[in-house]
Amino acid sequence: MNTLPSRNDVSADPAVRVPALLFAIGSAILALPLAAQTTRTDFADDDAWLRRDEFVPTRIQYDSVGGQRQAYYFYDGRWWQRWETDFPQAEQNFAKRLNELTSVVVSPVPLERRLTAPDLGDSPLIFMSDVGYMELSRPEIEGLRTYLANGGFLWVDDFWGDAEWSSLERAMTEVLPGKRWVTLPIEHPIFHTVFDIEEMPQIPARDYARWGTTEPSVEHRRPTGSMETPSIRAYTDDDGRLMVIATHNTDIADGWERESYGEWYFENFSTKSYRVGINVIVYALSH
Amino acid sequence: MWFEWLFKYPRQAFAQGELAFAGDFGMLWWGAAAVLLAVGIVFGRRVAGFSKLRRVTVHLLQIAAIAILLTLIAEPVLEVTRLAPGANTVAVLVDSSQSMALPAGLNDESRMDVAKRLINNEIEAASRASKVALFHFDNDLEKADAVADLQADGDRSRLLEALTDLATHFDQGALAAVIATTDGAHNGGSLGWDTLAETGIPVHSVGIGQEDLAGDVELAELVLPSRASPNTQIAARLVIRHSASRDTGEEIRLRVLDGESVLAAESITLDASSTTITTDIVFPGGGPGLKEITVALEVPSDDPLPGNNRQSALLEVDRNRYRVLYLEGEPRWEFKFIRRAAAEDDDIELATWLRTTPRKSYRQGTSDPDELADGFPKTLEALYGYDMVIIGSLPATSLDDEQHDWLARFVAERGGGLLAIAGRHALGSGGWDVKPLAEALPVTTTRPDASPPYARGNYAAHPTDAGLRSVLTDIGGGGSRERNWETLPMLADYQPLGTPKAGATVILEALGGVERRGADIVVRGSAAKPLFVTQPYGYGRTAVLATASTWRWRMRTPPDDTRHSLFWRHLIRHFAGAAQPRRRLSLAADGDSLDVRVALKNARFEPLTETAVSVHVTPPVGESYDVVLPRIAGRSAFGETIPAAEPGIYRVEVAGLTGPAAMSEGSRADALAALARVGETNREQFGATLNEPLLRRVAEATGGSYWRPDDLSGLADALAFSSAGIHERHQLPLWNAPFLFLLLLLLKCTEWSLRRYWGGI
Repeated sequence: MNTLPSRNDVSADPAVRVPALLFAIGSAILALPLAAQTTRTDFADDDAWLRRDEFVPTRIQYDSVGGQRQAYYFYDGRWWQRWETDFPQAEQNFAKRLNELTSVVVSPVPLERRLTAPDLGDSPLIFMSDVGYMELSRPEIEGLRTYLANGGFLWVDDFWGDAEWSSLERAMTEVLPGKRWVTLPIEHPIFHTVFDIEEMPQIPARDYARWGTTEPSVEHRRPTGSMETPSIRAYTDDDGRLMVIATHNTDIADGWERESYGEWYFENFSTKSYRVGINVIVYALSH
Repeated sequence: MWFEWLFKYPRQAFAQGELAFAGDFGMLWWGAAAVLLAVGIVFGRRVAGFSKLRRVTVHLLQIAAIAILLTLIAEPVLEVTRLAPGANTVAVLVDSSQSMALPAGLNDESRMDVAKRLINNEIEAASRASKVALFHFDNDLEKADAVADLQADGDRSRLLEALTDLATHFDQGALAAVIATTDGAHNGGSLGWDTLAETGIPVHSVGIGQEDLAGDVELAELVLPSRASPNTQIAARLVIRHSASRDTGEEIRLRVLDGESVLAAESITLDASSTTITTDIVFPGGGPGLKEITVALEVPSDDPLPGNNRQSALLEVDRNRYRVLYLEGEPRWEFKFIRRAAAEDDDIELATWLRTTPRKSYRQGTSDPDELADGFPKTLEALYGYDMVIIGSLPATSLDDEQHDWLARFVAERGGGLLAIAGRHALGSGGWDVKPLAEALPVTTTRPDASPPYARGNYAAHPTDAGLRSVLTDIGGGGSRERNWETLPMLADYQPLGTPKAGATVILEALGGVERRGADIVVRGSAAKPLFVTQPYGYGRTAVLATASTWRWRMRTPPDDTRHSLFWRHLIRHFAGAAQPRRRLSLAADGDSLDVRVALKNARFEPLTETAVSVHVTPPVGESYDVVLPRIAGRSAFGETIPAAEPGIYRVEVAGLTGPAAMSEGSRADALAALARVGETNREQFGATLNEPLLRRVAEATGGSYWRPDDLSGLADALAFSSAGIHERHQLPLWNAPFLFLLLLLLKCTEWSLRRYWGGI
């Protein structure tokens, strides 16, 4: 996780409203190139699939509500939209490890796509991160519904606490009305396809890793509620196969992105992230 | 007629007889020869002024004329054998089946009326040199007392059996020939042509009736699978024949019925220029149980034979499990989506072994912890427990030599289906080209150094002509079969397959395509390459699919598009369903009997012969009973013909096996059962037109002739020179045959005309 350590919901605090507004205007000006980049990568008609290997990590672009620190944030010298948290370094590192450790033939270059992309079906597994402020448009909701009905697999990662869970839950209720989330027990095959995982790991953003595994509530949408227990929650289809998994209260992709942070971090977090990631990918490729 | 006028005798006499000379070649003949030669020389001088070519021509004509005169002097004869008057019998066989009551097409007479008239007026006269024995046939052959008593009331026409029976068992003197008066509408039993020909009795067939029954529409064939899985769509193949007198564009409604319930309905359009229509109609099989499915044609206007507008067939809806083994060397989307397609079919049991890492694997669909624990069935018997094997991107080195040998035997001996799917480690790229299975595959696999390897590209799957006729390309989609394929998403990869082998069938081709070479996308043109190729091998079938991106047909179509799923389900059912069963019970109704056959094999698919088989027969009425099936001589099967006098549905099941070899097989054999319907179908309404080709073939096979009812004038001579019966030898003089005199006249006129033209006279 790479959001800046500060209070989370500025709009909820009147004392900072005016400075925040000015800051937001400035931020918007700075964010213009970012918006242009978003437009450029919104593929409407391309033949990118021709360049693909068997498994191509595909990050989903989405819009988020709110302003600075909500829909976007400044970190590490640049502005980030929520959808691109950890991207593309996390996918690049993960692709390298997948190639080393498994028989999956994986592309070293990840893709980014919107849910309305006409070639979304060429990526039967898609990844979303940091979805606490996510807002899906009607075409995006329908695109995701079609994608999942065709057998596509969605992995949502890096969202913490109750409010961010509710944000995802609201969006997914519109995508698949009537579906119920189930929390996967540790006996579920997804924890055992390649590695036997005995406990769902909680991976914090690098900046908090020294202090424990749970991120501070100020970093997340309020009310955060409990953020102590990581889990995989899922939607299943009528045959019991997983369609959507949500790794909640954990930031699996940060474990990939920050593997070079240090030996201590790698041993304690990256290895666990890779074990979960490999199991999920192989599960999606075989079910 | 002209032949007999020219040569004095009928063709049959020349066909049977031999040319000879009755006179002797004594002094008289030699004297005549000398005189004629001298005359020729004298007259030959008169052409001394001609050129050499003209002289030779004139001399040849003269020599030919002299040769004819010398031939006449030698008294040429035809030596023939003719039936001895009064010593032989000619059997007249009348078709007394119901189809003979139909109009003959001559005046208002029925076919039977025509037969009676011909017998009374012409056939008996033609047979006057012999005695005449009258018989009639329908389901059986019977002696008839009088022509007037013959009735067209039989419910079957067993023409070939009747002729064979008559020729073989005739005991009323020397049988010289058989004259069969029939429409040729044979509808019973198998045709034993060899047996009929071996009797040596010429059959003269007199064809009565019309080849086109005006206004008739007939459901000539209904082909249904005997078994189907519950809640599946079933295709019935229909062959509809109609009279050319029907209007083009006329619509006929088809209905598929289960009792009173309409399962499906469709319309077909008649075309006067094409009187046979073959079509499929798909209907839901519904839940488990025995069903009598009826297909009925609703003909809007007058049909002279409404009884042939419907047919019924038995359908047993029951579970039929296909066990499939899929070995995959790398996690990939094709694997996932094949599994999903198979999972939609309750009849497919898919066990998969997937290599996930260089040292780990993942099994799914296995029935016990040991199944595929080593990445392959542990024994040959375990491998033979599957009906089909799919091999994905798996290096050949994953298996040892014995396992490779088992795979080849799985196809050749066990009769299983095998599909190889393209991939980085598939076919030649995986080293399979030097393994025993390479011989069984339908293409000549090559190493990547001999052809481009498996690579990304842009291809469209296109069915070949042969493919369009195959169930493998029946993927639904709502349009024509071609259209359903044209609108599928592009494939994204291709693996060159090498050359299809002789006997292989290319079902799909890969068309067009683009391929990346470095940073460039290169259009490769539209040359078609084999994409999906199959062939039979031994008792089984093999196939190669040169792509691993059919999953795009699922992911890039709307959710309700079932083409990907149907492609794989049909493919698996086709290859797994054709696998040889270990136990086979076949049951066929033939008239008033049932033909039962049972073939048994052990777990290694070796024939079980040192055993005995009994079947339990449940007739439509009365108590069931057991029948022991003896082993069929010379074959590894057991069989018996069981009387079935009562019309209705018979159920036959293997009741048990006896003998040491069968002890371990008994329990599963109990499940082997089959159904057959005996009688109750009015066969005489079907195929009731004149079958002239059959009657001609009967005549040709036996040395007889085919006759039309309006011209029997040559029948008497044909009978007189019949090859069977008691014969007398005759010398028929030919010296006064008009042909010889006409030829002599022609030669002399030609000579005279030439000499006149050349100025030699």
